[in-house]
Amino acid sequence: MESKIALNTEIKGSRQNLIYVLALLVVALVLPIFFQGSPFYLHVLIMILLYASMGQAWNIVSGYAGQISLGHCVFFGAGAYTSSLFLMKAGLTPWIGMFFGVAVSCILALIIGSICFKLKGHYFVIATFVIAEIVLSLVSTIDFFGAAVGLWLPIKSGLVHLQFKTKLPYYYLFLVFTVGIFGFTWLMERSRMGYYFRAIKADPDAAQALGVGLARYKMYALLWSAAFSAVLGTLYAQYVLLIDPNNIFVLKVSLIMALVTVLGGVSTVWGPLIGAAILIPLSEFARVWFSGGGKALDLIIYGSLIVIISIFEPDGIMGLINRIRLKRSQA
Amino acid sequence: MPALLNVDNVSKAFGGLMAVSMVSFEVEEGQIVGLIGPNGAGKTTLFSCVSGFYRVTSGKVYFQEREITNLPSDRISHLGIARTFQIVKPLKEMTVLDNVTVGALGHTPKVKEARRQAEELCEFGGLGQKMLFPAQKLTIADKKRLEIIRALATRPTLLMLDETMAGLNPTERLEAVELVKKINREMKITILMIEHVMDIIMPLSHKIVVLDYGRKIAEGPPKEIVRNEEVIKAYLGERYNAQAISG
Repeated sequence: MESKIALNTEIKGSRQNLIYVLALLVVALVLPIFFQGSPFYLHVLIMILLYASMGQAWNIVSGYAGQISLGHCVFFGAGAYTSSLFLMKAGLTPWIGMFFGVAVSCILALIIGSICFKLKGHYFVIATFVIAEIVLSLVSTIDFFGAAVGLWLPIKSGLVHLQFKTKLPYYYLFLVFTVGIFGFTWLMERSRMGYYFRAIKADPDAAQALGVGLARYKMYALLWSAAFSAVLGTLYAQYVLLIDPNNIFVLKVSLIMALVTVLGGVSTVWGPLIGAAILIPLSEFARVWFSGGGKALDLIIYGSLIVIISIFEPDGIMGLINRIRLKRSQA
Repeated sequence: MPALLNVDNVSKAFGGLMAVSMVSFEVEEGQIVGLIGPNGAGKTTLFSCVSGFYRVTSGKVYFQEREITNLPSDRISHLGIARTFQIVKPLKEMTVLDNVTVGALGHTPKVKEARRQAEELCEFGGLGQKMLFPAQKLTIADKKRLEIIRALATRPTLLMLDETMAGLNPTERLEAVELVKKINREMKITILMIEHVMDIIMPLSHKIVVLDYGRKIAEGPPKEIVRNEEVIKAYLGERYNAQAISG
């Protein structure tokens, strides 16, 4: 009987969650209207959406499936560079360039995955990190990729070119993709794939004994993750219109993807959003307040946060929230 | 009728150490077969060879007349062999129900259906009250139950149990024996089990296979095994033999 009751509360809880989600969506739709006059605040909101989505992409393979990558800037960069190069060299709209970006990113994922998934734990992390460093030095020396100078995107305007004169349309553009990626993750969590990912993370041997093909499902996780990262790379390129290797293929990008998720809570749908909503304003404001000196300061913030989270709340803010909820339901 | 499982001359070497050495035996459909032997005899290694976790050094394994030697363990699971782990491996952060659901998802892609089957199995295996517990919070006895229930969720033809009774108190043991009997008789699942508790395995098994130093030293019905000189010397000891004869 006890279990039946628990199952019922689970269903009630999911209805309650739906209301929360709808409320959040309304807030997200209305929020920028208050900041219309201030491009900086809109920029911060856009960055929150961007990094929440990037965190979610990372979350799929590193959170749910437990294969921790510190080289995700490669997939993000693959999207940014592919669509930008197609735009510059062939005049192709980024809407189509985006798909090429996804294709390139997925090919890279297949190569990286087939090499790195043979490694376990720390060795996997190190390998992904090293691959990202290799890509950085390749891209910054090859002229075709714009070398160290990077790529300046031609200025156009309109939805077809995925470029806008003001920040507001960008905000809604990022919002649409954020909702898409979060929706996907929500569905994935409840599908066979989600169960298999969590099983692989919990115990690969046990998972395999239960019929989970390890190599296959780890690769699925990486492919989805790489595809979403690439899409976001294209959007980012269209937003900043200047991409150079030292802002894309760097540890900092991979690190923030990981950090927003770890801060908010790994293997949870809401973790990356919560983490981004806290971390991104912190680092953006630090950058402004301390101007030039802020560059090192945001790294100090990231570093201290990692230490604090891993000591006090390894499950992130979602872990904290779930514990409070559990206590309340028991009381 | 051909045997369900045929282990043919299987050897497994770790470096220079022969953990399993040219072992052959068969498991007939519907039977309970016990695998016994002293610590380090190679029982668990043999399990891992059959279930695809180790590559065999030589020899072959057939299941339903089909060669399965060195297939990856997820393929072997799909073919109908499920195993439990001696050192329990619960999917810690997941609930009991989710643990079992993962097993059921191997043959049903629909999560709802898999969860329904998992609920039924939890009830069947006596974890109905604990379905929503995180698996790591279970007692050792319940973790061993979970190992069995989860393996059942994959709908095996052959279930391989690795010391599922070890570390249980007498009451828990009796419950576990009843569960094994139910699985064999009601669900018609063939069982190959490693066990150290002779009072359990002898009455339960149709056949016993004895390993010592990686070699098979005896095979036969329990009655013959307890009288086998070599088995007594290597493993059972004089006391159990005397008890068995007088009892």
